[in-house]
Amino acid sequence: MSSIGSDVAAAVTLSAEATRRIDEIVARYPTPRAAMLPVLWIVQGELGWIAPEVMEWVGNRLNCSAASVEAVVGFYTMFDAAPVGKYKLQVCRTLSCELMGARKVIDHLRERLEIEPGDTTEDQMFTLQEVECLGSCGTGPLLQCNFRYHENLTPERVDALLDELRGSEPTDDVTPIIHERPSRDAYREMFPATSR
Amino acid sequence: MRRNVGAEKNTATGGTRDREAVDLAVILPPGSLRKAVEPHPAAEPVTDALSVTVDGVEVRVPAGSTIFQAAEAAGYTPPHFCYHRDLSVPANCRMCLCEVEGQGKLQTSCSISVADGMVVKFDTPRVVEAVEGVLEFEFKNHPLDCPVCDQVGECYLQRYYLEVGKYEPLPMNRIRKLKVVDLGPITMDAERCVLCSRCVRFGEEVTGSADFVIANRSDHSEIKTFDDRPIETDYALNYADICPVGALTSNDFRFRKRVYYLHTVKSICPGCSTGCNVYAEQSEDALYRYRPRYNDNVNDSWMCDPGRTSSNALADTTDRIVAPMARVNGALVEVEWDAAIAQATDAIKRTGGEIAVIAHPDLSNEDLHQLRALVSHAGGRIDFRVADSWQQIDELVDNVLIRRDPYPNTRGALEVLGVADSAQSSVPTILADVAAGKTRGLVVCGWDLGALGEPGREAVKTADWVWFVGPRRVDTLDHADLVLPTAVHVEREGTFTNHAGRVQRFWQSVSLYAESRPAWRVFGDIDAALSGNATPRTALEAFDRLAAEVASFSGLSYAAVGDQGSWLRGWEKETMPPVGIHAMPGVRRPSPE
Amino acid sequence: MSAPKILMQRGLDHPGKSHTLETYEATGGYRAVRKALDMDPLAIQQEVKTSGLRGRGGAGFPAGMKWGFTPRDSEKPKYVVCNSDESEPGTFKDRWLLENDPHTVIEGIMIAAIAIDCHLAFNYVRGEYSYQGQCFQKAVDEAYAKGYLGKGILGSDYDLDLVVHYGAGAYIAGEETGLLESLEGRKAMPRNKPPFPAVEGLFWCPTVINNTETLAAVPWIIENGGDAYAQYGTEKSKGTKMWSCSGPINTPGVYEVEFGVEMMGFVEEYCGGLMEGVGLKGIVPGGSSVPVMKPEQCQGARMDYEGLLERGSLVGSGGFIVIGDNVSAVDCLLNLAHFYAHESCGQCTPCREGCGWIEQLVGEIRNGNGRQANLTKVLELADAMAGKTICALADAMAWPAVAFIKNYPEDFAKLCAGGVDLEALGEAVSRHDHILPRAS
Repeated sequence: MSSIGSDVAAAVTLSAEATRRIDEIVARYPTPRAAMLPVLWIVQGELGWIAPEVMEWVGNRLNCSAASVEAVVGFYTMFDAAPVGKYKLQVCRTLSCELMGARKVIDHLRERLEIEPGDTTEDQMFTLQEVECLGSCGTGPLLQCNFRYHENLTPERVDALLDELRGSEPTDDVTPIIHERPSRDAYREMFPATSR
Repeated sequence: MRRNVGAEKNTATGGTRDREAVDLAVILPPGSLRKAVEPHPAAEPVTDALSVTVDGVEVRVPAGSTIFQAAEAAGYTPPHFCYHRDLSVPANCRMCLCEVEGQGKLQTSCSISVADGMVVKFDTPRVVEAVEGVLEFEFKNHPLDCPVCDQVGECYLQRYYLEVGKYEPLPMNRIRKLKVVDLGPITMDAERCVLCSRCVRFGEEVTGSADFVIANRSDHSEIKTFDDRPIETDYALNYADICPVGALTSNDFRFRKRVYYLHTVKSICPGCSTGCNVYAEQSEDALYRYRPRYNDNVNDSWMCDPGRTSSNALADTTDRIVAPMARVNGALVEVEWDAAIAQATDAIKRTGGEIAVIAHPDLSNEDLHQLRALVSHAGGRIDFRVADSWQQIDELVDNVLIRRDPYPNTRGALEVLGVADSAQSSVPTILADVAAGKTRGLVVCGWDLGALGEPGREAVKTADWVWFVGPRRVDTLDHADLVLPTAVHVEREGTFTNHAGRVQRFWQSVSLYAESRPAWRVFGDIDAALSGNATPRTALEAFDRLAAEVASFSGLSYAAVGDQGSWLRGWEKETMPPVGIHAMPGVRRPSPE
Repeated sequence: MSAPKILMQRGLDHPGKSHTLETYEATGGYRAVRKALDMDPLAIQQEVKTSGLRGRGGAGFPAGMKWGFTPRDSEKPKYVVCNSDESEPGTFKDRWLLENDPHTVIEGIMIAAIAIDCHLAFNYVRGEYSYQGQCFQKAVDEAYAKGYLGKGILGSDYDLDLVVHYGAGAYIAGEETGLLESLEGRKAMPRNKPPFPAVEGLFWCPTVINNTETLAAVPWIIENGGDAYAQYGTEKSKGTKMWSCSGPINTPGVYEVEFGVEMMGFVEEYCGGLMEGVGLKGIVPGGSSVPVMKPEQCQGARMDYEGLLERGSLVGSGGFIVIGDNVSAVDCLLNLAHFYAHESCGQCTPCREGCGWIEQLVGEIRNGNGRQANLTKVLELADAMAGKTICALADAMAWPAVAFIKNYPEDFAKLCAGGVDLEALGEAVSRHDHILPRAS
């Protein structure tokens, strides 16, 4: 079942649009396998997450083993091998953000959502994750909500974001939301509690 | 009862003390952190060779060799996990580090091609410290499973650790991973895994089944099967061989014996016409397992699971024939060998010159040659092609190793019995003649009545006398007048010829069962009584007679065949391709997943 | 301290419009590539060599030399890959280029392609940069629409396709051979070198792979000449660098300056100095993988390749992280150790186990359960990791581990149970700090 190029009957149905995009993308690469990441993005976009049958389908489509698809899905942090909430909140915890208060933001989210990083709220609305450097070090702390950055966060702005997300539907717009630079006092509130 | 009381334990017959039969190098896992290995015997001189100096020893190796291979030529095997001569080279374990003169950083010897005049050092404090450091990293998350781990005694990690001694203990939290996962033929203990990726590469490059994957990343990397499914390939037990530690272990062998109690003897798998080279390992005269033995003209480092687990059937003696038997008043009773041979000789003389012999392709070359000699002196016809599989002797079932012909010596039988040129088997006509009363004596080697079919059932009823010659009780015995028990191949020394015409030696690994004897000796004794030619005293003598009388074997001898085999005359091939669907041994790239 | 803005001028002059094709062409864009189409490919490579442009992603390898390693006579297809997998902590300059001046990057890729006879190029954009990737894709679409990409670019008979390829969250995909593995559809596990990508790269064909910022400088170099570029900077560090500044400073952001500016002056003029009430503890000038510099090392340090090396650190990616005295070095090191432990691809033994082990040891100190032996062990592990692995991630963990302990021993000593003999610790440091980069 995990053989290279095995004939697995597709238990996976994708929209015509997705299938068309996949065909288009696969054609752009010298080998089908090179389209692995773009195809996984399309498939995850449609289906929400990547189940074993989906991995078999992708392996079959790209002429490689299902095992190699599983390896890729597990390796990259943005692919989900299990269902996630409607909004995936990924907060950066690397050095620059940590220096400017990421820990405060994460703790605030843990408190508000009543879950630990890695978990999803019971109503399936929010998944909270700690992630590494998002490349927004000058405007940290920040989080990525699905594909959109929310920069220059403070606990208050986090509250506002949660309320807004609760009252709306996910959007395709990924333009970063860059709040005004927090005040000096706001930063001081967020600075890490240190052992000094 | 296993021990053959009163049988000579002649060491020249390839008994378990035969120095040739045992390979000391396979008792320990390969590689050493210390230069304590015996130098390899001098290799044949190589032309177009590059000169490399390894720790002061100059060697010449073919262009394209790696430093690792040059080191082996110089008599030193660097420690390693991820390197395997029949798989691609990922250079990720970092154990085989060495100093290369002119390069600042240490290099992995497995992945660097040698240049002419290269000077390499393994025996320096810098290399030793670096490699011991890498070893310590391997231990960081390794569980203390030795008391319950089958790999003890053949574990790379254990060997290397024992060479360097203790480390200062520091409390450390191990990463927990899957333990004791039953995957069907093998058990997986992911915590023991050193992430060498050999299993991943084997599945991609040899069988194409791509069973394993390294999931996640960083120190949470873990081997697992796709979707945690069991493994279905016919080559799963090779995973247990290639895994340098106890992460993948054989369920067939699980907990049966500590490997340092096993005595290792070179043999050949009798499962099909491929003739994979194996080690047969026994303890206290019981056969415990086969492991593949390297032969780059036959099976590289691999063998199939059905072949491997056939050792269990061989070890099972419940249906073995214990002693020669003769039919007396309608019932089979045990008799002494001398009486049995005498009865056999009489029977042949009474038929007056025509016997029918249905031989078997799991008889050795020596057995078949003596049988043919017997038939030519007694008068009669002989063929072995009861099954049709001989017509597909070269055909692979699965593009890896298993062939359609399930017998180890079909090619040998074709050559030795002189029937190679005939397009059809004469077994049906032979049996028909017996059934019609034209031939009066019938010898059946090993076949049961189901295999012989209707012609056979008729023949055994009509024949004046029927002998059964073979190791196991089958329904043919119900019609036999004389039963002569022969040894299976692990109980004796001999040769098989594989599908490609390669003659290969197997050595004796366990004692002859009860009163059974090598078939060449049984046929030789009967022939001696008929023709006056002395029975060969040893298998070697039997082979020498064969080589003198059969053209395709001319010039061969046990010494010439050695432990890697030899081509029949006229069957020589330059090289054989590597075994495996996408085999790329020696290609330097990371895990292909 | 004013500097010619080679890379950021357009963005500063035309905020909100600098990314459009219209603005790009109005400000001189797509002239260099036209020139390149008429040049001998070796002449293009020579111009880049003359400029002294070095890789801006972190390794600092001379770009022209790298291009020159591609074999002239190979039958295999050639590839150009732009490395926009910006993930080095502290770095956010490639993002700026993709958002504000994507056409410069496109033109740089095009010129590199012409220089090595490549007809299919890729920009590998990290998965989290959806917005930046979209900005770049829009620019690519604009270029295709105008015939600047595709069949017969700019009216010539040279075909060139450019594909945007997203990652999916892996720092190690920023390592050049890790990126190539990822582009081939696998886990981003770096390859052993040799062979080098210029000879055997993407699909084992000759490949030029360069950082976004590196390629962005190429149009200016071809337009104005390598000599002109070499007028800027210092003797061994030519041109300008975009420094990504973060930490408790008043004006964080991306700033382009000529190589050679003095560090504390840069902090004052560009970073706006430290926030009120926060003193300087140290600066990590080149992204988290380079050794941290204490204030005395920062004073008078020249921000270029040799200048920083003299002070025991590196230019790296230019991720300029200012650390205030309101945090403990233990927290900083623990934060980075967690990063590397998480991002290690897991292929080779020292990095895979070592990063996680160092994180555990430093974590124990942080929680009050660590002793001096933890520190000695961290130093030993760093030494056992550095230089023994397939790629430099192990070094990227080892260098901060040694540098933080070496520069801030009191921070660690304060938290160790049973106290710390600072002299013994100093000796341990000097046994293992040979792994840190230093001027030869």
